[in-house]
Amino acid sequence: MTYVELHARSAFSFLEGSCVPEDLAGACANLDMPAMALLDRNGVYGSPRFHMAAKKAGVRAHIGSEITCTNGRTYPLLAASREGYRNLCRMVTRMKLRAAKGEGAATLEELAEFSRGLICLTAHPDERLLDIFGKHALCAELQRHHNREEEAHNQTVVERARSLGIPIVATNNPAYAIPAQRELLDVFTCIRNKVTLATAGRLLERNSERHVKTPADMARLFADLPEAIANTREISSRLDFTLADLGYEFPRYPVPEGETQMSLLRRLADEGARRRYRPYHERARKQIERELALI
Amino acid sequence: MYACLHGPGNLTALAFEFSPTVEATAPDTVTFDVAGLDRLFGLPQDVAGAIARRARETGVKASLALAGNPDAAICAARGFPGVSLIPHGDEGKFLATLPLGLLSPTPQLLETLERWGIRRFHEMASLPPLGIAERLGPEGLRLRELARGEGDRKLLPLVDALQFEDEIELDYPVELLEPLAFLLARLINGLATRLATRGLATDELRLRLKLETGGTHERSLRLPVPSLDTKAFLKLLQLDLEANPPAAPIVHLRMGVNPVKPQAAQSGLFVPVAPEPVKLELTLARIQAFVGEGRVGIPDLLDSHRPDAFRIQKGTATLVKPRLKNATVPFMALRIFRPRRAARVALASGMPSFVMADGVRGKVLDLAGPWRTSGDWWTLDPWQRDEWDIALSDGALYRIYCEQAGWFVEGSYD
Amino acid sequence: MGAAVLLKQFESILGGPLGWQSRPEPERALTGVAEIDSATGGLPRGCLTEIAGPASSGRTSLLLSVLAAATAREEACALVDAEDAFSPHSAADAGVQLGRLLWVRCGHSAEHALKASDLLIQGGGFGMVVMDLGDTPPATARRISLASWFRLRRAVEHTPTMLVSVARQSNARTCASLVIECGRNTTTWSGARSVSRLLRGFEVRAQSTHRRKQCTPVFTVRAI
Repeated sequence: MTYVELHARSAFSFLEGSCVPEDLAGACANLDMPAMALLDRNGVYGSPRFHMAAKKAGVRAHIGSEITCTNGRTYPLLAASREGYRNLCRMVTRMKLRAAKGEGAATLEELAEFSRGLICLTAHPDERLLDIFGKHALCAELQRHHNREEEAHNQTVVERARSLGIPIVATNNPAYAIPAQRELLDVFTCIRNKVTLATAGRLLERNSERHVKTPADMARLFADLPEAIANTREISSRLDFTLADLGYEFPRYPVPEGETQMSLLRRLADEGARRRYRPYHERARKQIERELALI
Repeated sequence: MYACLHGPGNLTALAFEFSPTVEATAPDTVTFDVAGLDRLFGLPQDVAGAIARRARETGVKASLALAGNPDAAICAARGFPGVSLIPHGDEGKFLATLPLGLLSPTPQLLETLERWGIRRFHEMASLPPLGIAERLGPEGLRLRELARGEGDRKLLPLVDALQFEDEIELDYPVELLEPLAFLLARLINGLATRLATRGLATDELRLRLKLETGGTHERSLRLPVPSLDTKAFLKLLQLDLEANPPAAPIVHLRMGVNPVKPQAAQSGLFVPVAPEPVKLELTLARIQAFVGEGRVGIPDLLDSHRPDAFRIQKGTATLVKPRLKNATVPFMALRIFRPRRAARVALASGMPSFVMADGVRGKVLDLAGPWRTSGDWWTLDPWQRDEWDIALSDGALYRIYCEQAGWFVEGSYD
Repeated sequence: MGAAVLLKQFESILGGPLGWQSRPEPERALTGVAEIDSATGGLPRGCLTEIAGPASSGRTSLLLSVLAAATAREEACALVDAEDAFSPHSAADAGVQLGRLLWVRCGHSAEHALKASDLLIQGGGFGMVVMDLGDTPPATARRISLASWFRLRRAVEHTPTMLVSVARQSNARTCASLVIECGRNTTTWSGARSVSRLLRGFEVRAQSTHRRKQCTPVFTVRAI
């Protein structure tokens, strides 16, 4: 059975992840996972490196981000299309511009404004999110790290998902590629909270389960909910966008009737050169011609 | 009116019981202002009687003198044994027969006077002042004044003399705790009275025992609130010494208390029931005597994922806010087996199917788990365990766990 | 001759109605379990209450609920733990304010537990003193003499202290003013077997007598 991890985190989530994107891509290749989504906190900083490493490893790299919301929750968003990527970046830009570094949160209204092309995973599904994203772009997220409270929460999430009519999806929310990197994450947690290992207490990880698990392990963990595993594959297939499809486009400049952008530029350059170079000698003419040809 | 005590013993403490203005005139002499005490006790002889009585009670063997000026009182206390009461204006007459050496003049001056045949107060007192001034200078004049009992000066009061300490030197070593209790009681009562006269109480008792072997045995007791309950102090000390007996017979006791303001606790009508702090301390000491040290106190959760992480606090802890407050449905409690019980567990497809331990035995009817925790990886004592909640065929619900050392039953849900 | 006629005769001889049956009802404190409170009126103060039942019958859950209610009323409570079985984490989850709880760990000695309870009651000031013999073997608990129980009962009499004992079976006989016998009815599990199974709690059927009437309140204990 194939499983795609849709909620991974790298060290580009500052002090909240303890492996580099290359580790994650490597883990995918080792564990025969065809694709993975890197969702760093409030940004897509890790995506270029993840994209490159995944390309080398033959893994499909999905792009997205965990967006902090003003209601105190965090919404993992996956970019399904180029429009989704654009919306994600605009939302991040807007929330970062109005707050100090490292802070800033999006409002639910902004989430709604930029929701097109994005798929939202959530551990707290409700009607409001359903309104924002619709039945096809909202999934109830389940995680199993061998914890009683988490499982109790999962069972309520499954019920909520059934009543809302949205799919459930399993993730392991890895913050590190292999179990040994949990220790580094604990140290990062201490730095983030300005405490020592001895005084950090329950801020630290409960166990070392948040690593990249094999599809077989995940299938075993969710043996009672096979659709949660199947849905990861289904969602992965809907994520068209990768950094290869960036498709950068320059802004258009308004031109008068009967002119193209190029002919207008040529005319303006010619007029300017005549003012600048008196006389308008051959060497200058050649240089301008070369520059224009380059564009 | 001034009083003077002259003799061995802790005179300063005694003096402070009667007056805030106390002068340590010499190591064996203490002078203090008793003006106004007559309003409390009556006539000057009653004041003297009260001081003498208190001196007897505290075991101070000193001579006492009361006079209108400090120097006359000092001379009388040094010169006459027992209690002397100098009537106002009769100082010169009263002191007349005392030897001049009592005033401790310089040796040269004393020698000169000796050659002149002047040996007693009245002889000095009757010399003409002008002649003295010419021949002996200001020092001679001062001596004459003192001899006439006319010296007048202010006391140099002790400022920071609030040392609440007392000691008893023993004639022969005490080994048993029972006779020691009498001595402790004497010290405690003395200190408590001194605290009480100053409107103070104590929250700490320090006891230092010198042993026959030359070593010392020190104990200190801290109380949750300041108190003056001498009976409780004594009992607490006794319990403490029973639990931590000195290694050898005792030859010397020294006790100190920490003087603090007593707690102004007002018990209101609607204040919820709570044990009286000092009494509780005593109860706890008694219980600790048979259940062992560190096994009585207020439980306090430790901030850790480690299972059953707690410590026991002595004394009153800060109030811990309850984590869950849904009081309508009771929460399932876990009874912990301490020490943990090693178990033999049969597995079926990786999950417990039969459990056997001391007092626990049965087939697993239903189970939930594994619930996994690990941590403290940077210490010498890391842990990692998988917990299971199981229903056993013996009719009970248990929490069992597996760690490196094997399987254990942690406790039963009840 | 009926009892009523006899009573009449006694009263006419003694010159007034007999008051021996109408001792003033002791004040009762709520347990925090609504079903128990409505059936028994709560635990009587100045009296001994016994909570009895086999292992996993909900005795300790009921006890923690009583402790939570008492500490919420800002009463000081003492738990004399004969078998060292108290779990501070469980208690905190149940809402017990640990700062108001004195825990005496007796280390497997019912005798010490008895002695410690006696001292705590004599010291006074506690809203509740619990003697937890929940894991003490029934034979050991039985050996506690009636005189000891009587002494404890007399010590709390006319005080606001509730004395509660938890054990496998009822031991104090006539000294107990209220006996609550617990038994587990059904256990609730959720999730799929061997994957997402979760122990959710169980239902407790309590048995007691209130105003000489049998009552059987049933309450649920939840785990998460």
